[in-house]
Parts: sequence; C-alpha cells; structure tokens
Amino acid sequence: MNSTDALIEQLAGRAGQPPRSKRLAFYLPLAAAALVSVIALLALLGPPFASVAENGWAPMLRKWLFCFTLTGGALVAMYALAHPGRRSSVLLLAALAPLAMVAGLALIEFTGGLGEFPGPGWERCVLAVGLLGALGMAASVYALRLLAPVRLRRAGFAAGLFGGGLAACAYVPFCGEMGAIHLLVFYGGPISVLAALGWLLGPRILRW
Amino acid sequence: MNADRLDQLLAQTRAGDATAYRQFLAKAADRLRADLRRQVPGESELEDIVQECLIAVHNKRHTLDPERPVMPWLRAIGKYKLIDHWRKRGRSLVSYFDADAPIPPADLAEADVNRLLSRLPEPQAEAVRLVHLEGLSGAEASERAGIALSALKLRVHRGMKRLRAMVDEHEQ
Repeated sequence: MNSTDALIEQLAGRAGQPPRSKRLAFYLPLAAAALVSVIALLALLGPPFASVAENGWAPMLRKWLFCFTLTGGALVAMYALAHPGRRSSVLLLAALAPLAMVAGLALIEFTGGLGEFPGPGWERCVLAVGLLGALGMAASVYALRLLAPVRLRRAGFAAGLFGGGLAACAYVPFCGEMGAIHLLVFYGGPISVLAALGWLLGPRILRW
Repeated sequence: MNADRLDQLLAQTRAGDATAYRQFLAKAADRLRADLRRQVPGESELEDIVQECLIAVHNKRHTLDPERPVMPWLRAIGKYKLIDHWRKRGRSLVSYFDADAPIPPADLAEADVNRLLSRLPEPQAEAVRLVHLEGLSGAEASERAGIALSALKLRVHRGMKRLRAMVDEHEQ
C-alpha cells in the first residue's frame, strides 16, 4: 500500500455523516458586518434620512439602487467563487454593471459642468465607505474561507466589491449629496480601491 | 463515464455508504493523477499534489452542490492545489534550481554511493548519477535522460534531498 492508498483509507475512515452545508455560516458574518456598520453610523452620524425633507426620496432611492445592485451582484459572484468549478466571469462583469452605469451618468452630468462637486462632506463619504467597507471586506474574506474559493484573485476582488458596496448601502441614508459624479468618485472610488486590494491580496488572505 | 461513476459514488456516500466513499476517493485520485500528470514531471511530486487534493476534497466536500457534477469541482480543486504547490515551491528555501550544486564530498565519505543510489527511485538515481557522478551539465543530462531540463533538475533535487536524509541517518 503506497502513501496515497493509506491516506484514502484514513480519509474514508473519517467519512461519517456528510458535512452540513455552510450556507448559513457564509451569510452570518456578512449580516453581522452590515449590522455593525448601521449601528456605527447611527452612533457617529446621528439620525438618518436628514436630507429627505429637503430633496425628497428620489435621490436617495437612486443611490440605493446603485449600491444595492452592486452589492447584490458582488454577493452572487462571491458565492459562486466560493464553490470550485462554478463560472464566475459573467457574474463578476454583471456585478460591475452598476458602476459602469453610474460612470455613464457621471459623464452626462459632467458635460453640463461640475456643479457643486465635490460638495460639502465628501471626506465623510470617503471615510465611511472606505472604513466600513474594509470591515465588510474582512467579513467577506472570513465567509469565503469557510467555503472553498479556488480563484483567489477574483474572490478577493468580489470580497472588496461586496464590502465597499455593503458600506455604501449602510451609509446612503446619512449622505445628502445627489450627483452621479459624487457617487462615482466618492462611493465608487473607495469601492474600487477595496476591490483592487482584494485582487492583490486574494492569493495571500484566501489561501486554504 | 468516470465522471458519472464519481457522481454515483458520491451520491451513495451521502446516503451513508462508507465503502462508496473509499471508492470515490480512489477514483478521484485516479482522475486527478491523469489530469495533473502532464504538468507535474516527477512521480513523487505528483503524488504529493494528489494527496493535497484528496485532503481538500475531504475537507471541502460540503461545497459541492448535490445537483452538480463532481468533475468540474474536482478539476478546479486540482488546478488550485497545483498552483498552490508551485507557489509554495517558489517560496521554498531549498529551490530546486539548487539541484546543480556540487555534493560536499564529506557528506558521502562514509557511505557507499551506489548502495545509497540503489535506495532511490530509479529516475532520481539516474538523474543524480548523470549530473553529480558523470559530471554532465543539466542540458546534457536532460538530453541523455530524454526529459525536460526542469524535470531533470527536479529529479536531481529530490534525489539529493533523499540522499542527504540517508546520510544524516547514517551519521546518527
């Protein structure tokens, strides 16, 4: 009996009951990161939706549409990437579609001038999306490691995209800015940085 | 056909059949070996990677959806473990490109070289003989052995590691 046969015997002896799916365990850290983000924002920035009285719901819903579609797309891509052998290219591209759409809108807006860009409080947007995004990304990395990502750069990229998107979703009710350029630069910027970090660090932090 | 058999065996395993799991692992090992053989020159290195894959398959089997076929999942794990193996080897303190380094004579002074070489797998023994005893260059030795230079260096490296372990054992 060679060493591979011996290993097979050993593993077969530990077959036991088939392990349970870790789907719930995958989503729990992500939900926890979302909850912590909302609590932190409430504690630091006070009551949300302050700008609704002045601007109505439409600008906020537009921002949310961007953030939720980006985050949802990243989540679907991340879940697929956590399972060996599943296709992920189309899912990743689809996850980036909202960003491309906002870039298009920003370009249209830009042709009419920069307006009030960067506007007051842009630093707060960058900090909130960047820092809380890092928290969301850490939760995503933890969740991914519970499963079996094999394309580590892509998985890291999706984790960064998801973390940043999640932070943006949580932050939108606290932001009074309305423009597409603002959304692209001060939301899309930190989200892209996190995704790039995930791409770079994926092979190190997601190895199993 | 093999892939279908793997699916069947895993389905039986899920139903609690431990024998089916043993067969599944053995078949998976065969498939992995066949897939990886072209990219991994040395037999012992290939077995190392196959074993890594089997452990990964065992530990991460919950990530395979019962509705999906086993083969794409298995192949993806095999590819991942192969890349991980290359990455680790790249970071290894003992690079296999060190294989051309001369043997310090003292290390082998008290041992019978031929007897030691006979304890190595023949491909490794041949590689060590060509490079370190006959003094051929890597390129000449790889041509003589009929294998790629990288494969030759790997065999020499593995052979030298084993020889060193034998010498150390002998000295203790």
